[in-house]
Amino acid sequence: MTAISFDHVSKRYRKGLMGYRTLREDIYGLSSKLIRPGKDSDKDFIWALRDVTFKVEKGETLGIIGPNGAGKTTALRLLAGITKPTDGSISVKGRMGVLIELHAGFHPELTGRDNVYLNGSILGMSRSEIEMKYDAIVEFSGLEDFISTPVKRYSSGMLVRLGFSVAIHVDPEVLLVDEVLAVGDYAFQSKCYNRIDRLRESGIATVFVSHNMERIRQYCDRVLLLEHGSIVRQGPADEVCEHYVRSAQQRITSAGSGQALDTSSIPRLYGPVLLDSERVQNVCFKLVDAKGEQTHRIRTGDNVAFRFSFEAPAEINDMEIAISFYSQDGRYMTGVNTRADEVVFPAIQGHISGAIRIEKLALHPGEYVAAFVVLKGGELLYRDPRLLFAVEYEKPYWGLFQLDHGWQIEVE
Amino acid sequence: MIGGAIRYRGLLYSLTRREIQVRYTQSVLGIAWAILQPLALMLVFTLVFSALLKVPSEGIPYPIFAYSALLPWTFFSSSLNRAIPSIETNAPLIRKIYFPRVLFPISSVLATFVDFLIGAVILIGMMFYFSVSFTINILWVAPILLIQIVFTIAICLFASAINAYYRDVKYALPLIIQVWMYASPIAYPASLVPEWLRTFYFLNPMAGIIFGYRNVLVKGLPPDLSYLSIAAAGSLFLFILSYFYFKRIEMSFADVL
Repeated sequence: MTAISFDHVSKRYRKGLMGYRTLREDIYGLSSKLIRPGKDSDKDFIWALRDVTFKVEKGETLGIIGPNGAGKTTALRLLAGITKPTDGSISVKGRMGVLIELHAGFHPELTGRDNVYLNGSILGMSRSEIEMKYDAIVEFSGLEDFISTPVKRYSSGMLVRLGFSVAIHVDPEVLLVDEVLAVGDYAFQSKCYNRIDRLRESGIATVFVSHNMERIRQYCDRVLLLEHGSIVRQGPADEVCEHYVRSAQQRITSAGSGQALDTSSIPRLYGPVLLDSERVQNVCFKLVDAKGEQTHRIRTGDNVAFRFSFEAPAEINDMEIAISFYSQDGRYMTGVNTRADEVVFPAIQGHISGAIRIEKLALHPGEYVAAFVVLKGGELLYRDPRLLFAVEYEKPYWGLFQLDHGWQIEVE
Repeated sequence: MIGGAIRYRGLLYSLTRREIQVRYTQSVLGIAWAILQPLALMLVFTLVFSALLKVPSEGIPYPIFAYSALLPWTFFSSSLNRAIPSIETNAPLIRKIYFPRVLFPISSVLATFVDFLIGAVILIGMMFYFSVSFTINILWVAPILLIQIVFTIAICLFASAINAYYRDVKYALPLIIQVWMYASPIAYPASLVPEWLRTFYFLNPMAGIIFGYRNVLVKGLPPDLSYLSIAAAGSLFLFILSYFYFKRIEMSFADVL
């Protein structure tokens, strides 16, 4: 059964002053229109969404991904009924739970308890329903000791916890989740995701907007990739996420050389990009396995090496070489740096080549990006997050990385 | 609209409660502020208009003559002051979640109504103090109050919606309230208004409403029905108009705020 349908939806916003306008400006605008009649030109508007069509069935989770400004938030706002589409129609069947900016309904002067009631009724619960669920809400938030404190004294993490606890107790049939859960500590986050998991299993329709590709892959059955307000790809989560990260990659590497790129158009997933063709040229950067052969696929615990070479036409003094590792969704995993390791270079020029050996790779399975970085006296000369590689592992694993470890057990 | 009222009554209650709870937190005098405003104005008016300017008060002690009008007037003006910026001040909520936006201005008016009730206790006390006789006509307070609430909500819906677009409304408000007060029979009796101007004068629903309160509360007379019905018809007409206007543009609030 279809829970959400988005039918050829477009949403247009007026450029420039949004909202805050004075009467004088409007009268001025109106009179200039009277003098020079004609329709508003297309230049005055931004299309946040253009002809977007999709459906979400009951029990299905749809992920929406895309660079900033692609229209993800607009899509959620339209689904939540906060704003109306310029064109097209939207239908949502069932009680809606909205996990967007969870503490929007909180009033700083009121206590946690009062805010539970206020937010609960904003989210569509009746008073008796809130009374019934009150204990469960407070328990879930873990804020029993602070519930009589005005929320202006809460930390942002506490606000999110309380907000989520209220929102998740709405018992929604349709759930909209924005990247709100990025706040809050790890334990609470996993508690939230468990709860969302249970809701999904109970057969509700979920729309999930995130930059976190891991989460998207984990939770979504299907993913839409939005760019400039249009769907550029949709399909199974793995496929679309991979396409998105690769195309972001390509844009990073193919977008010219010479100076820092215009990063407004690309997600700065893997830090800054700088390709200085004058001082660092013909860069070669690759991953090799234990046998010294180039590869893109390695296993957790492998001994590997990253080989690099480049030309320095002019002398570089006080040089540093660094490599940064990112998970595919842009999390900065770790890095290595010659200066930190007290590897000192004399002033050098010409062809430079080298390698860094890594023993017992600690990275867990997944896809990663390595950035090759050259600095001169702390100044960035070259930085190219280009090398994409996959880590595999067939045994069970937990957490963020693999410890280099051994067991010692004695029984007497 | 009626269905919506039932469905959202819990939320209306919560929002009203929030307004009341929030209003006087971190203030020493707290809820006393609810009565200080009409009381202070009463003192000033008694000094300026009665003692200095010798404005007639139709044989009624001037303090209660003024207070019987200032109490409902304060309810009206405070409602405007709170409800008209309510769409703007609740912008974070409006941008995040949907529920009928009319609840914001209406909850502000309801919260102000609580102040009015507290002020009414003072009025009753004063009526005893000045030995004003209670008559059956006092029952007229209920319909007059109803007309006033309908009129207040009508103005607040319309003006709060426009204020979402043009903040000029908010800036003009103190001036409008001031002028409006002098255009209503608060500091002076309506009988001072020249005959030829009366019809025009009572086109202002607040004039008919205040005139009505004073008649039924302190003079023990029935209200002037012709002026009151002008107020009632005007209020209802405005209410319908501004309700539909508000409904028509409420979906764009999230885009302009």
